[in-house]
Amino acid sequence: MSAALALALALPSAGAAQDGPSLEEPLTAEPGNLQRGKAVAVNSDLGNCLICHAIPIPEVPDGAAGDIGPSLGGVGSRLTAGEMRQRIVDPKALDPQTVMPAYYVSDGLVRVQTQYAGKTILTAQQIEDLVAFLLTLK
Amino acid sequence: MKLSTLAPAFAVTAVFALAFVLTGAAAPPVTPKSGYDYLTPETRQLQDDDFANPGMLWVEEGERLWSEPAGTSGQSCASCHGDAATSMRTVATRYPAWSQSEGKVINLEQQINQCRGRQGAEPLQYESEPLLSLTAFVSHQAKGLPMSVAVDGPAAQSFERGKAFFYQRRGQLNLSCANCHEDHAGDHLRADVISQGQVNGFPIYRALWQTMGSTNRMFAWCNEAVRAEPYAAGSQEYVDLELYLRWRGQGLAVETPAVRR
Ligand code: HEC
Ligand code: HEC
Ligand code: HEC
Repeated sequence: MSAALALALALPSAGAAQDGPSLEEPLTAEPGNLQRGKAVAVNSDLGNCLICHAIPIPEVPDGAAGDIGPSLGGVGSRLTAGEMRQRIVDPKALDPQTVMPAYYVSDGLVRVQTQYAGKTILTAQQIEDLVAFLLTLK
Repeated sequence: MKLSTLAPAFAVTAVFALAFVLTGAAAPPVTPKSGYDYLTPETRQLQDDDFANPGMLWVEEGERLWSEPAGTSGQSCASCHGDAATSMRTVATRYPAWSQSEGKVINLEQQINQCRGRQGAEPLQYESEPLLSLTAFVSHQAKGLPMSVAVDGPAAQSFERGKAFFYQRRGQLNLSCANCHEDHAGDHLRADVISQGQVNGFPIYRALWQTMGSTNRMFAWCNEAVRAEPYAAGSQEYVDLELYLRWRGQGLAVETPAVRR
């Protein structure tokens, strides 16, 4: 999906901790699965969120996570599902300068390795699973 | 660590080059800090102790090759350059450098391979033991001296292309060198401290690789970390990038052979 499409889907956020667009509509019909979502977050071949974010769960030992982004502890209270989805799908819609990758954008990129060209980092279902997991981090 | 097409059109206009000459390259945007400063005390110790530093094995092999005849000429490096401690003392501080004969900026590896031609010998491959060894040996002669590459005159366009490369976001993760090494030096990627990405220690012995590596191997590794297609070793893109990085670190002492995680 393109950044433009992500923006087109954006709805005004509902009572937001986050300024800017939000994606209210789930990307898939199947509801997110939080166990799978947790695996996506910590697995270095999938979300690899730990390179930048601490996640306060027993599966993540102290000092194993990076600190480029804020800790995701309590993020489930700060953001709505729509805001979370927008943040993961295309955080540049919130801040064009952000270093956080867009996990569901595959165009407008420079010199992507052949095996990843034209592909998004995560699938739609993996993003729904992630959202379900992150919402439990109260 | 695992973090995981559009060819960059580096059009450099004469205007750009002129502006550069007039304003000078100014100063690096951040005060240069060696990768050494981001290491644990244990790794620093390993680098500081010539007997423990694994990179010294390559320096010693380079010293042996320096006076070994090679190619159809039967000449060694020493036949033409004599004692490297004198003739090569400042060389690594000045490379990459403009080559009049090549009509482009070349790196130290390419200069060494030019001389292999003079010897009547085949060029050495990147990351081969002899090329790493000779590069490490020549660079080691400049240990402790400040890097000071020329980025004006005929090198100006190469410098500007290298700078553009550094700030270009790329790969599926869409990150530039600057996103990590300028915006987040000192922060952590998982448990790894991010340094400024300086090149004053190259070739480096990297624990992750269990061997010595060139700047070009490092650039490819960092490109692949963001799932970007790397360039070939010795490509002009990487030569330009190295020139820019040497300038970003100007004044930093050459540390070859550095030890890194
Ligand atoms: C390369 C670094 C990087 C990676 C990888 C990364 N993020 Fe982020 N993230 C950031 C930064 C930096 C911020 C702070 C806001 C900004 O700059 O956009 C952020 C902000 C966030 C926020 C908002 C937090 C809040 O309290 O408002 C969420 C949620 C988030 N990231 C989730 C994720 C998830 C889920 C993943 C993995 C699928 C991930 N991030 C991967 C850098 C990263
Ligand atoms: C996603 C983050 C990231 C990006 C983007 C990145 N690097 Fe790195 N780089 C690292 C990490 C991690 C290391 C190893 C720890 C350190 O020295 O920073 C490293 C190390 C280096 C080193 C070795 C430093 C030393 O002291 O020996 C150089 C040189 C370097 N990078 C250059 C670059 C260049 C040039 C680019 C862009 C083409 C780049 N990096 C892009 C993460 C990154
Ligand atoms: C037949 C003579 C000859 C031999 C053999 C030779 N060189 Fe050279 N070398 C030269 C000449 C001449 C130059 C100056 C070239 C120039 O300025 O373009 C040079 C320049 C260099 C430079 C750059 C010095 C500077 O100040 O910029 C390095 C480094 C170098 N040689 C290394 C080596 C190594 C390593 C070997 C052995 C593998 C070697 N040379 C073998 C003749 C030789």
